[in-house]
Amino acid sequence: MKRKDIEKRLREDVENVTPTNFSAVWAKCEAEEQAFSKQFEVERERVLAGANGANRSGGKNLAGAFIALAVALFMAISIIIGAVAGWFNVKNPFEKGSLIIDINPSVEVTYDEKGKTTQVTGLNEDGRVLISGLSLVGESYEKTVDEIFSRCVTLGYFSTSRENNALLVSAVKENGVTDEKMTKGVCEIFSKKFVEKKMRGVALTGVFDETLKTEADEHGINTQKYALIQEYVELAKELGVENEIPTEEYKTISVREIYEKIEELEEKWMDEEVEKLEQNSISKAVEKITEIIENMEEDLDGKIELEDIKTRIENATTATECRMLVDELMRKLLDMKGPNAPVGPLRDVVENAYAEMERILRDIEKLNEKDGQSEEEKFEYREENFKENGKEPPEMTEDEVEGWQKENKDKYYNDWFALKKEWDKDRWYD
Amino acid sequence: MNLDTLAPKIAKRDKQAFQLLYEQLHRLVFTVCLGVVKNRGVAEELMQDTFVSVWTKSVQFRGRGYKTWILTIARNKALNALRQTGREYAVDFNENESALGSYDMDADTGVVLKLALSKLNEQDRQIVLMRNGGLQAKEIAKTLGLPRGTVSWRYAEALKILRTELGGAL
Repeated sequence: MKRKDIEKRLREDVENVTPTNFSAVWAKCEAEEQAFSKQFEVERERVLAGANGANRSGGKNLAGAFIALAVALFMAISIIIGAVAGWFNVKNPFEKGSLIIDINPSVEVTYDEKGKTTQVTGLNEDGRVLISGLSLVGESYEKTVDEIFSRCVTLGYFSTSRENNALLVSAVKENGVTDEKMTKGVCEIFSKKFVEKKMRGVALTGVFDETLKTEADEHGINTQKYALIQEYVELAKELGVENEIPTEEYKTISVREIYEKIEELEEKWMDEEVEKLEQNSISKAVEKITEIIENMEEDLDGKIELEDIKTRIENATTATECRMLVDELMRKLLDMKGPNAPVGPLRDVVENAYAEMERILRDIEKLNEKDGQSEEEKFEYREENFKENGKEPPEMTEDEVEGWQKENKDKYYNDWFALKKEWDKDRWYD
Repeated sequence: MNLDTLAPKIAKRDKQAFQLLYEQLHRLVFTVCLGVVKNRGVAEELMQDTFVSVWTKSVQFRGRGYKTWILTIARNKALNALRQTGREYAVDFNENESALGSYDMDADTGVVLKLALSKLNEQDRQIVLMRNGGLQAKEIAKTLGLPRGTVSWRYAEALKILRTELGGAL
């Protein structure tokens, strides 16, 4: 029995025993889905019930009321003293205003000049569930954020098992000003909480953009979320990939989903930029080597046939290919080393070509290293190198090339003599 | 068809995309499981569990290599099943010849598959089944964590064993 026949019969056998019943799989998926929804509902009910219970049980104990009154009086006096002191000594740390926390749920938190919460509003249904039962009015912004974070964990919006957790903190323009200090402070707290809970999470923020307000309002979302979506849309357009966020999903899509989509496209963009850079470096190198070969052809006055290798180098697409062809070129040149060959200038020419290729390979290796770095490092690298639309790093000057040659002299000559030795050995056998 | 494009749709609970994925991959997932557990019934169960995991966990999948990700889930599930059941049957394994660790293919199963399940070692068996389930050598290498050359070499060796065995069987 031939190999092909065995493979054919094996495929038929596999085909015959493979079950094809999708409905059985689907039934299991639905069961799993229902179990998850039930768990979520139970958790949600628990949160709501807890909140109502807290409201019902308050203020029935007379002694407790007296204590509460005493505490309230003490606090009131402290507040007055503090306010008087503050009036004279302390500048208010914040501008009175509000900010929106988008996960999705969306919640708007309004605060006063001291960073105390004055109102919390759920901007959508999930937002209303998220804050139900929480009494945050009068609390510091730190406490407010802390409570919202905890509730997000309880309801499963933030989770350790998720690859990314993300939220967007947006400053709402109030009386012509936005309080970026508060926005930043809130973001920092969320970031710390993510670290504390060992979650991979990110708190995003953006600058308020008045020009986007009308469009954002049309979609029923705030300007920063709209700006975040637009960042994705623009990136998708630039990369020529399908836009996966249709307008009807603007309101329901979570910040995490937008963030992940942007991150994915940025990775793609980075890959393309690195590839472009590599191609650019190679074509530059090829151009230079071709020029060197042409000069050599003149120097050698037809004593060596370089047309073939020149064509192959011109068609080289990878750095490794280029490197191999340069080695081949060097062997050809070594072979020419004889009483009549222009050894000195020839060696200089080859040394330059070799140095050039080494530099290119080094650049490409650097690029690959950068590609394996963390997001922050990549971002810094991108900022540094691709700020001007993927512009390549500056070319080395002649002095720099010479410096490089001096630094690598030993290595270079080792390579040179190793090649020569190998080549001579081959010739001996010939 | 690039299966990576189905991942975001499945993450958004698109049943049609999920069914499409099932049609494309069910045979492969089944053969991956079968290659490990050697038992048709258990492999079918594991295949279903794999797709349930894909349905619930696709939201966590990002980037490229959706197919490899799914096959890794299938293989891990199969290895876990084998480990657990192996422990359960360890004491009186001789009395359970049809349990995991021994093959119990039905009479309608072809001779070549039976031979592949019974005569090849675990690695060769998995390579042969994956290859004939529709996976390329480089994809098998990625799933099993082997060099590509090893996969091609073991595949050729495994077919030689099957050819020798078939000399007697046919």
